[in-house]
Amino acid sequence: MEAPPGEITRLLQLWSDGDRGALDVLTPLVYRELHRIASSHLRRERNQASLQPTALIHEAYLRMVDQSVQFNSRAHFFGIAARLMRQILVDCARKRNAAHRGGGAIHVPLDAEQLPHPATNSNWILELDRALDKLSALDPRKARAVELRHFAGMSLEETSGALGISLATVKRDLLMAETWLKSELNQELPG
Amino acid sequence: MTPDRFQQIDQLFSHAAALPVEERAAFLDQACADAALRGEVEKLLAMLAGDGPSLGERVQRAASELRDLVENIPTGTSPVDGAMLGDLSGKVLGPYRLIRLVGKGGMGEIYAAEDTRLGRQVALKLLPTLHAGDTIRVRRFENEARAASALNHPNIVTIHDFGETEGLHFIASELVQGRTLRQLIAQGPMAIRECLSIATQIAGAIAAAHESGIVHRDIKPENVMVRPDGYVKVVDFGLAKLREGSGAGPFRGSLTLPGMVMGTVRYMSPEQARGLELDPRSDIFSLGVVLYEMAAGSHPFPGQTGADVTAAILEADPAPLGTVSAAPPVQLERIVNRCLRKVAAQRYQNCQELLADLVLLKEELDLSNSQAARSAWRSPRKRRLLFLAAGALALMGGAAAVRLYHRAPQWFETIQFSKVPADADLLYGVLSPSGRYIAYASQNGEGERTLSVRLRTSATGVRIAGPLKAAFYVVTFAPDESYLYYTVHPFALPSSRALYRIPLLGGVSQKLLDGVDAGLAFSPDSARFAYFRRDRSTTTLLLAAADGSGARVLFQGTAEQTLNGISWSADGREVLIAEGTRGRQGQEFRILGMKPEGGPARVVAALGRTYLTSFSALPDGSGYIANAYDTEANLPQIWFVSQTGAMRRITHDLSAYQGASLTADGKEILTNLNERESQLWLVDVHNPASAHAFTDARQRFDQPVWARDGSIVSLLAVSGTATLWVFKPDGSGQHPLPASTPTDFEVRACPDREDVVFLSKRSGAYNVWRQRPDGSEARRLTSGVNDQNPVCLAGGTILYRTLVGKQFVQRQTSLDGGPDVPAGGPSFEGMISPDGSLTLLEDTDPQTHAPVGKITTRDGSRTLLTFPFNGAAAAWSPDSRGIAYVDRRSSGTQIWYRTVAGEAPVPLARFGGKGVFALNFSPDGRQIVAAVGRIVIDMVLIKDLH
Repeated sequence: MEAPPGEITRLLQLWSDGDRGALDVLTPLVYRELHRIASSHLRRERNQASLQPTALIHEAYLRMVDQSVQFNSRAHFFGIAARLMRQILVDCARKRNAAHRGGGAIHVPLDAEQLPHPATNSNWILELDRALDKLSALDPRKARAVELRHFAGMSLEETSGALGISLATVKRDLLMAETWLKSELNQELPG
Repeated sequence: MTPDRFQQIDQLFSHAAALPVEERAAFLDQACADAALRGEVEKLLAMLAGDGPSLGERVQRAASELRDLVENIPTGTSPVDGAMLGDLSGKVLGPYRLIRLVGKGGMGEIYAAEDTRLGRQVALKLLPTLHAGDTIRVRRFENEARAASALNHPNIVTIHDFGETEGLHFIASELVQGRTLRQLIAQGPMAIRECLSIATQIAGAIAAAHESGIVHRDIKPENVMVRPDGYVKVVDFGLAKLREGSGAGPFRGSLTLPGMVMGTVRYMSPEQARGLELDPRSDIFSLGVVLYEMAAGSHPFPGQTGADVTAAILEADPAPLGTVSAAPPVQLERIVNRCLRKVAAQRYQNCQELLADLVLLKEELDLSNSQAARSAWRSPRKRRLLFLAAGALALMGGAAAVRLYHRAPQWFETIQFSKVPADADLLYGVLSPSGRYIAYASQNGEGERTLSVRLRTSATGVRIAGPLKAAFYVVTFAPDESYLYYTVHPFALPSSRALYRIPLLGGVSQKLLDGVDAGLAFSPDSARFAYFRRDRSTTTLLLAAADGSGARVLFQGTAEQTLNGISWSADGREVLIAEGTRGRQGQEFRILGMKPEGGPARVVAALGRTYLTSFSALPDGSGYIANAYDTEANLPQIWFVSQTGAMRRITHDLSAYQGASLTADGKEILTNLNERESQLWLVDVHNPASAHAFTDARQRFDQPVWARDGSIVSLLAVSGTATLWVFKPDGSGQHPLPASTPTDFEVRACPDREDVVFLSKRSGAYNVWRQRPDGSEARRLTSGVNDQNPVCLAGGTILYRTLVGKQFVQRQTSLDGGPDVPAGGPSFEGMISPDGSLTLLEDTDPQTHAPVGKITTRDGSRTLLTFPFNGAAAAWSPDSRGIAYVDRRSSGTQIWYRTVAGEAPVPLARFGGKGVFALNFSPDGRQIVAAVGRIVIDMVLIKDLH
């Protein structure tokens, strides 16, 4: 047992009861777990599979949250995990870019050593991250919806539950957010 | 673009997008007169027509491309010794799960491992089996580990644990993320500042070791780790001596072993190369070699073979640093030369001297504008002038540095730890600046909280506020102890967060202002306070007068920043906040300072990846006492943070600490220790009043199931490690399930078989296992790379999920090892009834968005029952006709029973403020076993005895 599942569950409950301090305790725990699982997946499945954030978050959820207590805490957990997954991907992309730039590269031997070909997708993630920040300043709920849906892989229904808004509103939010992001990214990445 | 503008675009776009394409133009003609606005909307509408991958697909694709980021670290530097253990990656040794081999050498093997008790990563060094039978060797290994673990210095790797498990001797230490100094040097000569920053940290570590009577004997770039935040950790204390004692002279040994030992020869002092007795001055020579190499990018004693290098160390003078490096300051050359003297008596006589010179030079360079200084060194006349100026400044700088290095670490180095008596329902306590009063919050069985104040020495307190369904996030004494300030955050009304104050000597509470969320801290003169207001995505630092008037913004955090603790500097001239921001390596934390009058914030200290939740300045200005998380530790602990951000843990625990209030004299800290405990209860479905606990209160149980043979199988944490245990429903016959490992979890009983099934990594990957409570029939049922969610249904059918490629797919097998086949049909979502026909799902009410439970047929075609269900444990009755579930609300925790047929729910047992972590039925459906517990919180006083 990586972290006592009852502990995480309790924290999720405290948090949903309005205890904001619980979030401070939860976030680093979830981050570490996600990162740990991501690293172990990537090592294990180097030759067959790819990193799927959704699957990772599900795994972290299964590992960390007591399964017999899974119901309401689920939305909260996924909410935290979505933001962290975005951060992990951005961190990875930054590391990768830094490494490709050469000198002064950040170097984390336990995670990364050799970095083969340069990647346009890692840049794309960074652009998306920036655009999401921009969106967040304009309409935080829409940015959150994108995170939940695309970084945590929540269904539309789950997203509506997590944000406390109707399904129709989620769909509307996502359509606007995705279209806006697309136009934003087109601007930033000519060609 | 402004949010208002965005909202306008959003409204028009959303409306238009819902219309058929041909009607959009007409709609915009009518709805939008602003041509620019219309242009924005049309640009977005045009995007709708395009195809290409969706955003979600692109995120997945990008993620998959980043996978090659994570590669195994190349294993070590040296040839594989025949006596090694072989790769133990994936094995479990006691509480440690070995993740991968990160280094091999004569002294042992080093694995990245996970301490399963804490979930933290550690570096685990194993003594090679060759030496395991050699008792002298083993004793040395342990003695040295003990010596190294006694060293408490921020630049020395922390030893967590050592001992013997499963016949292997091990040392568990902090796993340092970063590069070795060797890797940094390989990139060429370093900038002088970087060089000095690293050198002072190494010298500080070595000086601390010397003061404890330990000579490192193996200082070399491979043994210095540099974290991405620039923080240095010296590793491999204790192992050097071990190798030294291996019998073969170090020099003779080096001729026969390439690679690793060759590397060591290069850093040996002349006396070490001769095989003479060593003292601390040998380490100073080695440090000089490292320093030379950092500055020059090349070795002072080059040679092709070990013999060449040794000859050079014994005889040759190194090429002057100035000739091989681009313009190093003369002082650096002098420092290096003094380290590299052949005769020990001519070197620095102790590491403190060396450290002082390094610090001095660092200060000089920091003081003089770097560019000007460097060019000045070229001109003799200017150099002389600069020398005089720098000399004067250096004296001051040197004095400051000495204070920093000698005095600061003394805070809370020798401590006394005592529990402060408190009621059982305590949530947390805060100590007043004089140490006389304690303000504390408690919570009753109804989930209502009360804030009280008492004299520290008294048992009873005076109620200030409550009982209320609200949290008191801020509880702060004014420094003169005239008032206690506190906030009230009603659970039901998150937007309300009012600040109150009450006179300590009696009087009524007065509401001061609203919008106070965290971190309230007073100026030392009690005249004003700073606090945080948290809005949706940002945090703002504000300053107000002691009566709450004149609140104004001092610092506006961005959405990127997390702001946590607030403290005033000891002299009251600056407001300090702990800030985190996303850096290249993830969240990075700093202490920022700003004048209360306003103006820009400055960086006071960089903390790397250590996350402060709160901190207070020590009265002499030498540093702070903080409650903080380390990136490697799971739980918040109490730390000393020096002025410059160097950190030292004061507590080293498996438990979490909340808060840290420091007295004004800096001598006492009050913090709150959180420990979890839970016990098992038995609830008779037909006679709920007889519900009772049947295990000891101060234990940690989780996930109990009731097996068909009448025994209970449950996770039980013993000294931090949770494994499966078996006992009778009266609590007797308690014993570990044979072969259970700390990786066992997700336990399920089978409705009509004796076995329990669970997930375990006993064979290396998470798979589904079966075992009978008597220990027999332990068998792995699945063989996926990563299996999860086992369910055991009637007839011994096992459903589970497994990772195939990048997806989890549903599969089915049976207890008897029947065919393992893909399971088509309905999803496994939710909790499946024992007969496999129904599912309990979590949902939200479409109108009210309130959480509900929904019982449906497995294929989801028919909903049988919807009921309020706010998310806690639940269990199916063995006959699949009803469910027991936990209703958790602030008024208390209650177990209910409800039939699928929709009869009125029956209340079964109530647990007040405790939580029900898990519950399950007995095989006959008459009883329920539940793990019921809470977090036990104690106030702890830490006294500085120095």
